[in-house]
Amino acid sequence: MAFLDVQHVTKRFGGLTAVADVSFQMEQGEIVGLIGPNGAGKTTLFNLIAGTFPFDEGRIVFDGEPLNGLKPYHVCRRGIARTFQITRPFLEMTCYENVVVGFIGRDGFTGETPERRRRAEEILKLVGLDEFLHTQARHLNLINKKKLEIARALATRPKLILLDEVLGGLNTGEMVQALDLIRAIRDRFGVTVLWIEHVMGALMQVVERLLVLDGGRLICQGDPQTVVRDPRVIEAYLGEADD
Amino acid sequence: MDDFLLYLTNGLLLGVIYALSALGVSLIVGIMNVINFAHGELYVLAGYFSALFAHALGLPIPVAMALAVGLVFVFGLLIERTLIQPTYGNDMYSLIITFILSIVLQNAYLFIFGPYPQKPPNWVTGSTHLFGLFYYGNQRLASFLAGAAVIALLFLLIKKTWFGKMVRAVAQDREMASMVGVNSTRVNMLSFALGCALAAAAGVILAPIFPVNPTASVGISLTAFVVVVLGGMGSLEGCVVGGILLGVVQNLGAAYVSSGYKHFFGFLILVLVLTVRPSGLFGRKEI
Repeated sequence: MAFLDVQHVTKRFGGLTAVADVSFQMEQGEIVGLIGPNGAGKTTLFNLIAGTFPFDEGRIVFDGEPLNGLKPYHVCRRGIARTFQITRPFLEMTCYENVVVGFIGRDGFTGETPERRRRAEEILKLVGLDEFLHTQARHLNLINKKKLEIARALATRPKLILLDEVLGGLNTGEMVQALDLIRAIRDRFGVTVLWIEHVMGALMQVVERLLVLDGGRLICQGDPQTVVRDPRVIEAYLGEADD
Repeated sequence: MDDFLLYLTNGLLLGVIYALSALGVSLIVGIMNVINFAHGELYVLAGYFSALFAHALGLPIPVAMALAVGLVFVFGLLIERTLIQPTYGNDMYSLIITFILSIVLQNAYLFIFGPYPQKPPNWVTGSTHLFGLFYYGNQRLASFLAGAAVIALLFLLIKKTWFGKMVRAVAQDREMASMVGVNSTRVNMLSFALGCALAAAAGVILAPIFPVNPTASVGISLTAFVVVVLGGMGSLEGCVVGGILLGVVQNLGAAYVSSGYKHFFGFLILVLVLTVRPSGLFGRKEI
């Protein structure tokens, strides 16, 4: 039984089919990249898995249990966390408080124990925000906001994390930091990663498998080197970029 | 100079009372973006309850007050669940529904409690010689202290506790809070009820000074809205500063110009502040 099993999932917005009959599987501990041209349905697929909106057809089974019809906070408590393309930390709260909200969401508000405080500090140290513990999130720069989103996601003790364009807007040095962080998420926390990215060069360094969406359909999946040479992918996505 | 101190003290006390009466509105606006037009009616309801429990049931005053606030909290939970939840996503509906609720409640009070003012017993009697200058009613001072304590407790709750962190997260980004596992529907219910309980706390604290009647709610709601707009929609700090500013300006204006113009000065300061800062003293700019 696959860890994440997406079976024939379809989502329509009025006459537009944003995600059409998509099926794929992920094993625990994998890092999988999700690519495709703009408007291919990548973020919509994330929204369906995270429960932001319901899907019209199909089934998503996560860790042995179906996710159909669950609210986002239930999906989170099942162990799926996500970050956003445009970062959305709680701007009027400190980094520490942002992480604490992740704890509260996952465990209910049971109080602030020294154990929890230590864990919050540990998570912020791992992502490299330990010096900004009590800085309000709105004072952070882009890379640090992205790190904070990942820290908050980790606070919910996810088994699967959905990353949406983590690298967008970062410079080369910052990208290296971000890639290290994504590897650490998997290696140190054992979290499975599904990752939307446009920066192909960086993505190829880390992912073990690629999924390609185009026009809402999953047109190709498999080993990254094979996938990027696939004529369908080149036509839909890479060919377009090379023009 | 002595007079000035008296007016200032009066204004400060009244300001804290204004802030206390407006905090519930501000909290609900900040978290849910819902304006509770029935705020004043919940204040009045708690005033009636505390009078009823103390006089008719003979309960000790603190017990009567706590019971009144508790009942209004439960009432708030019910209002949120039955009237506000179906309107999620359209702020206009909640506005109309709470407005209708306010009219229904006013008439219900008239029917049940009658048109005459009612008040719970005073907690204390007599007066205190303040600053060696003038005498001030002990009940007013006690209500002022209780009001200040409630305001301080609310700030502690919102700024320091885990519940407060969750509430602030929902207020800042409801969808994101939901993504990190916060059940925002339940937070809404609790926050709305907490806002109602704050109205009730103001009601039980102030009813000994200002007896309640079925239409007393109109003035309370109106002042609360002025304070909330003055301080900035949804800002608790703004609510306190706005309340005190309004109280002081009203009292100094009434004392030195004419008491007939008391409300004129209140609205004058509102117009002036909004001219310079359209989103209120502590208001966040809408993006």
